[in-house]
Amino acid sequence: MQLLFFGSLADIVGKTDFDLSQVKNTYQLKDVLLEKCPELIRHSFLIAVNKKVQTENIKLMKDDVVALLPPFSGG
Amino acid sequence: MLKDSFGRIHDYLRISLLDKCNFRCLYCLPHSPHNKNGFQSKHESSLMTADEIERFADSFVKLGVKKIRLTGGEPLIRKDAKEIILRLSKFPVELTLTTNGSQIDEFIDTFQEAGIKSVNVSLDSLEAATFHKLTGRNEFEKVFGNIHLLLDKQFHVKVNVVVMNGINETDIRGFIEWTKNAPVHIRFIEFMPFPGNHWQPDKLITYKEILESIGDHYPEIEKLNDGVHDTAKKFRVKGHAGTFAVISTMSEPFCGGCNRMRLTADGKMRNCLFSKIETDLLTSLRAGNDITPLIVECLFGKHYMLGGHNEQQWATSHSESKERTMLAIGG
Repeated sequence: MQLLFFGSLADIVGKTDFDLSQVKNTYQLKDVLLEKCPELIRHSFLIAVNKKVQTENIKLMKDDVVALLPPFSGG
Repeated sequence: MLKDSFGRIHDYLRISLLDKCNFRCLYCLPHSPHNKNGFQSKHESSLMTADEIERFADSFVKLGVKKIRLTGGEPLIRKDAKEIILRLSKFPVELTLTTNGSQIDEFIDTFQEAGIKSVNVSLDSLEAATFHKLTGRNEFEKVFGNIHLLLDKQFHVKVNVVVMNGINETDIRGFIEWTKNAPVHIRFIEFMPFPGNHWQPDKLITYKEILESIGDHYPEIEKLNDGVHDTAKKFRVKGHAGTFAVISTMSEPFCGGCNRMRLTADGKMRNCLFSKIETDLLTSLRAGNDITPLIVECLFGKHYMLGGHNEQQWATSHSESKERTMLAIGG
């Protein structure tokens, strides 16, 4: 599983190591991320799995590419 | 010609004229008990003057910019907005703007004199009560009237609708109905809520859900052609005068075809909405320095998408092709 943090999220996460061995779905992924990096909750993010944003809980497979997308304001 | 490190030509500049607005949209500039404006607005002396905006435009146009959009805050409440519009109209660019529509009646003549052909108006509801709730202002009739004024004067009008679950998703039908006889071009924008804008719905309404809800009432929908730099996926209900589109900022980010650069009201350049850094052009301009190298350098630092990523590997084997798949998002 590949984890990509975009924009400002990359700074927040830095070099934190996430143990994803027990992660089977996106809700569990969120739990792991927030536990290791609680600051993420203040920045909020969307999870995209294999290029599609997933707002519900979905299964995660070994080869999935998961991206965390930061919020932004337009203009 | 301005290119980033991925070879993308950047010929579209968005200039924010100021960070003030006469509306108080819930998701943008809501009321705050601490500060009447809801945030700390920049002091006037730190904003670009009309002269400076013109000089920046000159530099960017020499580097190949062909389109300039004025934004804000609300660009038309800047006191010298007319002067800025007329000055920028002298450049060989397509000049346009995004506005909340409340001031348009005072600017029609200026728009015509400046040769502006297209205007984007933000409007999130066709119900006056919802409009008031969303913007904090009782100006629906004014904005709606101004949009029709623009249409009467043959302007191309795009209406930007931010779709929010639990707030205005029921307005979608009304907007589509509007396109039946009015040649308006509605764009539904996916909205992602986040802490700080005082509003937390359950979930984002995606492009697919928007299309489905439209399809329920209007079964005959034609897909229109999208330009390579377009962020909107365009459609028309068969027989309607206007069109609609969905800008799927969240569910399908479209970074690959980006050609946009931004200049903030205090003269800082941003190469991406998600960019963490800004390049201060104004200070250099005021110091009499050539800003062209700064522009080029800022753009060259642009990430491929969404302000760049930090990759965390979990799998023991990592394949290049997977990363490229992710980077190919958008288009």
